[in-house]
Amino acid sequence: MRRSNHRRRTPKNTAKGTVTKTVDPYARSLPSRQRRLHLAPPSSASEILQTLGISSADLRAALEAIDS
Amino acid sequence: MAPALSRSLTKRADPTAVFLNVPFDERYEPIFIALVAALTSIGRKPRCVLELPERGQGRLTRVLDHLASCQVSVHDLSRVGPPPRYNMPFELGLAFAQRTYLRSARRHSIVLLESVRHRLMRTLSDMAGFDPAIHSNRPRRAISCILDTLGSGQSDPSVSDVYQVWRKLMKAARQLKAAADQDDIYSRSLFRKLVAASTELSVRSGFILR
Repeated sequence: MRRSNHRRRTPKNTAKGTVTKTVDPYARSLPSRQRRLHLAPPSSASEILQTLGISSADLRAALEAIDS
Repeated sequence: MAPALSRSLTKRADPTAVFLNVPFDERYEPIFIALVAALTSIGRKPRCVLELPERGQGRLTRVLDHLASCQVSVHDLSRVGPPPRYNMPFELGLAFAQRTYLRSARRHSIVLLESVRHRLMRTLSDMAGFDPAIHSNRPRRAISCILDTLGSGQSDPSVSDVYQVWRKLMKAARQLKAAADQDDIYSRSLFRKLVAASTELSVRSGFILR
């Protein structure tokens, strides 16, 4: 079996990367309040409702509660 | 590990889903509703253990399953007593363990919330050096915490705009609880309706697309 020459790169502290300059390795899990998380684009309302499995009956009840 | 749980832990997490690990008590309800309002206003999907029906697999399994399906989790560590609530720090530990040991959860991000500045250093010293977002038990601040940590920073609504959504959502929550004859919002059915109402208000406010 051929051995891969691929070497694991040392994490760099780049603006785009997810690794922050910290002493504790767990720290990269937590965003500082000055640095926002790099996240996917926002979902639309229909995506939110679909993912949570919100039924038309739930939506109707919600609309009634908003507009009452 | 149960096969169903094992499968859920290896599937890819939803990049816009945010797991809420927060206390489900009456005093927390305004903050909980603020978190839901803030998340939908920036197009994130609020998820929590309330959504999953109990089918004999136990609460802990449901928590693990849900954590694995969300790319971000928010952990509120403000309930230090009396009596102290151990669920939130415990589930924070689960999130860390998943992120550290599961290949599928390597990109999982964790957001910490507290109500008192610098207290976390005493209550959970393992987290020394980390900076939780402080909400001071005030909904407006909780909204600010979410926009600050999870917002894109460019097209996000302002804290004041989301606060207006929160006020309408509080009114809607009262209506929903009255209609269901429930004392609090912490049930599967009411949580779904709350998210539906928050999503609709976010659309009406022009924060997200329909």
